[in-house]
Amino acid sequence: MNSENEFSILFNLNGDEIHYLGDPTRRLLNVLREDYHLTGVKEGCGEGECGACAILVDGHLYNSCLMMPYQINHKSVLTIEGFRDSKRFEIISRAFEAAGAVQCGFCTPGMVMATEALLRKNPHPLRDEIASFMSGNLCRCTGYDMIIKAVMIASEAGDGLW
Amino acid sequence: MTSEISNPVKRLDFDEKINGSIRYTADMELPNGLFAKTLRSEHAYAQIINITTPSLPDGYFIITSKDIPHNNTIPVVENDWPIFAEEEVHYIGEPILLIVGPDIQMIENLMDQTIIEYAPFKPTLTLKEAMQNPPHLELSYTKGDFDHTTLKVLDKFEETFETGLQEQAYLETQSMMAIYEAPVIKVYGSMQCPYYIKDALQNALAFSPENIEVYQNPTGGGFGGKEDFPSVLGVHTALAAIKSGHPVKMIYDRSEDLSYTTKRHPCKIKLTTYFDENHHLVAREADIILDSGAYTGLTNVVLQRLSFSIMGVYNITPLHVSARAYKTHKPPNGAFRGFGGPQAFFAIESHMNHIASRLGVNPLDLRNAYLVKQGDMTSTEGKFRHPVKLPELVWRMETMSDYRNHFAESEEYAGVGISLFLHGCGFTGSGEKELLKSKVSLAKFEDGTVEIKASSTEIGQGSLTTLSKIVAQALEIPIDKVIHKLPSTANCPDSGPTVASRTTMIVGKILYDLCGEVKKRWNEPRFEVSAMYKYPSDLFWNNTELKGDAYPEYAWGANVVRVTFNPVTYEVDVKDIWAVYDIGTPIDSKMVKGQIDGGIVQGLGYASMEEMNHIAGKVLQNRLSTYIIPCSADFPEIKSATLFNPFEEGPFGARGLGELTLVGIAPAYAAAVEQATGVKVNALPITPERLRRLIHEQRK
Amino acid sequence: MVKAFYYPRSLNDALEQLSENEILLIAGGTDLVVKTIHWTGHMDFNKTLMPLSHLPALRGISTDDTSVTIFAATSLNTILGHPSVPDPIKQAIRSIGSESIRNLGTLGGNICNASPAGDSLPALLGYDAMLTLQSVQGKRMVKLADFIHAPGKTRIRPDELLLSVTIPKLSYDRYRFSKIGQRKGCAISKLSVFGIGRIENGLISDIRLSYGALGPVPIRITDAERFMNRKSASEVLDNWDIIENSLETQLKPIDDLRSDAAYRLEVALNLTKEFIASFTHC
Repeated sequence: MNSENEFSILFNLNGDEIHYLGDPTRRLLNVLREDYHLTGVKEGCGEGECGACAILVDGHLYNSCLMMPYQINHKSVLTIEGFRDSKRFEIISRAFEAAGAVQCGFCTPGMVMATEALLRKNPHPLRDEIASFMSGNLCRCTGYDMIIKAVMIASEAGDGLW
Repeated sequence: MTSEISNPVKRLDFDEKINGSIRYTADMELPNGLFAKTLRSEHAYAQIINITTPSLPDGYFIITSKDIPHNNTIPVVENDWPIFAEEEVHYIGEPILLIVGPDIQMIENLMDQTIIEYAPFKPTLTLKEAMQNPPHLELSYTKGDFDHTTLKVLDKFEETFETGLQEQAYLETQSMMAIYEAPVIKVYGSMQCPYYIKDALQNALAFSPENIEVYQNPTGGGFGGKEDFPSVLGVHTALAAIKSGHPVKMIYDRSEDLSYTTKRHPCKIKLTTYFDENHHLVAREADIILDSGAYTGLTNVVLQRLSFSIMGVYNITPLHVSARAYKTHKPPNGAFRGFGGPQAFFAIESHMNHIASRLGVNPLDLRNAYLVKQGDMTSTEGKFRHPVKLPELVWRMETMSDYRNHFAESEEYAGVGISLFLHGCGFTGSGEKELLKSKVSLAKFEDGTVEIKASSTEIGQGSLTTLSKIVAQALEIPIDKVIHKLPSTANCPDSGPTVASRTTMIVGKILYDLCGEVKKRWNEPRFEVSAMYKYPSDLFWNNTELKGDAYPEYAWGANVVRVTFNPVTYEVDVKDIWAVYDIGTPIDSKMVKGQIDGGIVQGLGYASMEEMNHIAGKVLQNRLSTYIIPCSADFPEIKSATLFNPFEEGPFGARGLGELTLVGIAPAYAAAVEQATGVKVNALPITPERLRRLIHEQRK
Repeated sequence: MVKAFYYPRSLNDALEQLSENEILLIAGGTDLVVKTIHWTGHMDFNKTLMPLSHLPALRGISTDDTSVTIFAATSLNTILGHPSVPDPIKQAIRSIGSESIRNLGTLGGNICNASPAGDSLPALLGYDAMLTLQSVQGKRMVKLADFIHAPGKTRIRPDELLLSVTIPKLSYDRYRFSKIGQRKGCAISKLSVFGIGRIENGLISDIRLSYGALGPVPIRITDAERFMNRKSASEVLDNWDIIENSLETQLKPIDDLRSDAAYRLEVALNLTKEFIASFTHC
């Protein structure tokens, strides 16, 4: 049996090759926040319900509060910290600003990551498609419409980027 | 029509929020810091017989009521809320002690090894049980002369409305940290009211005020839930930091937050309306009952606001109101956006609809016949001193929503509902004058920048930006010349709590006025000026008689909701939402829309899906997968507008807004559901299960 | 607190471990994590935890003329993206959780978790899905209908794992999956109803009716199906009391914090009736 302490995984984190040596059954959310200081990844509910901990793994949307490090072995993890210097982020950021989609900010990094995941999958989503895709990201401030509009603005402004 | 000030600007905190670099309390590193966890009562009502604690490893501490140097109370309005239970516990989840240390898994082990022995009593769990005993709070007032002998009454109509708990469900759970640098205790965290926490610390520690500093950290939503409750965490972490000598952090997990923090009060309202021989509404009575939970907290103020709001926007005089609150062995209820308003308006607006249906008149026509106008008496016999543009509000709503056509031509299983409502801006009663005495400062520096110093907090609503905007425009300087940071009691005077839709209207106004002085002295290189809120001199309030101006001003609103009903599944689908408000001048149209959309969706959650129940004193919905709040797929785009009606006493004409958007949506939703289903709905939330029961009962 | 973890290198490696040790299998983990997590953010497992999702032999979808085989650790979103998976199955899977849950969650997990509210289950029951279980001794096939026998309980042996799910191709003229949740997205079912069938000469044919969150396990109501076959929709609707009786005796809904038994039963009946009515227009 390989023991928990010696478990070794390799993954790409925000562009850096990482060798993680440690407990494979810690929550990925804690690993990202505690070991790599990626505090843009938030804990809102701890059960995959709110999306505040959303990250991309190989380009797809995941809740890091439901994951363990072994699940990202040889994969590529993107958090808001690794995304925020990109052109796409700039488009999404401007769209969120234009739509007024940020209030308390706690759900925001998760919303941004969900937007990126959606536009990768569907560069020109309809309102209903956005509403459905984002349903795993809870926001208590905005009532969602401004966020949905932000995604639409980003989709248009970033035409060709996704 | 809009003013220049309404043009949206970029939020001051936008960049750090969108890129995730802003650090909330849980994100902050605390060198040598310890974590604190609360050990809670397992009984709803019991005597604590004995506490057996394990032997503690080095670096671990237990904090109990014995560690409190002064009063074991959280001072809210009455001092009945203990910091830690001492002899008795009064609800499941009441804090008994803290376990503090560096490793949370060790803390968990130590919690498991701590044995509390109880002698349980029979708890009072429901309002019905609680009403066997006298209420702990009571009020009554009469508007006009309510004399049954002289009233010419032909008929009366009486009905009862019920509403349940609602949880704020801010995305960031309650979080706090404390650092003790003798003799100074510093508390940092997620909060709405730094000075409330300072008061709580002073009350518990008996430190002199200059040795207590409270700092707001970035706060992930409040909605009232971070008005009174953070004082608990503030005192807990402070006690732990003082005893351990280490910085201490406390982050509630979601289940703890859902289960044991304050919620919107469950409520029962009986309304009786009297008619004369011409079917005119000639008098009204309201009887209001609130479930306080185990301790008073803010209940008496909620009870007041609810009672004063129950007249709605109608001049139906005389009005007699009596209200009582009862304690039950459940977590204390507290502040939540609207603060009694949502309960009151659900009852009064639904009652108006039911009267219209009894009289066979259009619900809007009935309302129009009784609208209050400028100069009329408020519920507490104060005066609506400023232009009341309800007819214009109604007209705007009618044109925008085509309400009358929808109502008249409603197809089977479709319905439309309207609501009209107000919200008193600012503290209830003479709070603004007697209690708060809000003070702000402006500091001007050599480089031409001006810093705002006020204890008003940024909780997502955008106050950092709106207050900066007010100062920038008043001084005619660019907004980037205004410095406005999250407040602390060390650096900012007490501008009052961030509650009661008062920040823009009241704090903004003091700042606006103070800008006049800054302008006069502009050529001086560096100076700081302060000012206090000038309570309008023509307002009066008698707190014993509950007579006078309960609020400095009112904001107004109208909502229309259109729904369809699926008779196969009993589900309701919201098709359209319209909203018109008179909030005076919108200070920033984008931030205003944020408040409108967010408040309406939170209110629709209250109306349709958010349900929290206790069984044997234990909360059932203790996770976000069981306490259901709206998601992005639930409601359509909201079409909203604001009237042009600047308020002469507000900054650039602004009135309060934050709560108004939540208070009126539930009755509009309920009315639409009633038309779509043909049944009468007198309770919230209107879940498909409730609708099914009502349909079966009412068809019998 | 004994924690052990075994990361198998291959399917055979996993099977050998299963034959020798007490193992807790984990696929996506979307349910297991929620069930085992403490407030500390740590998880406690009473057995050795063995993940499966990374094993290529447990992932993927294969198809032949008569059926589609989905390997157990295939993510729900992967299934949604595969052209050969029948639409009725996809509709059910699309209703599970949210985008991020469907990226992590697997079909095998949804089955072995054996929740009464597992949203893929009614559709799979309707399709007579067959499960292939594997151990070092070999493979065996079992009907999904025989596999789950109580909430959270299946007939998998401790040395076995679920290899794949085989879904026969079915021709149909009507199908419907109705999931009733507490909100419109990211919800756990209060109840779900799956129906699928053909129309032959204007008569209902080969109809299948299955139900989720209406009893301890998702269930198919075969006697009601038999009654309906070779009848016209209107004839079935005229004799609705027979169907009602059948459903009322076999569905065992409960009161819980998502809904109540009376609502669940009545809405299940209503949805069934609505589905049958859709056979009238042919």
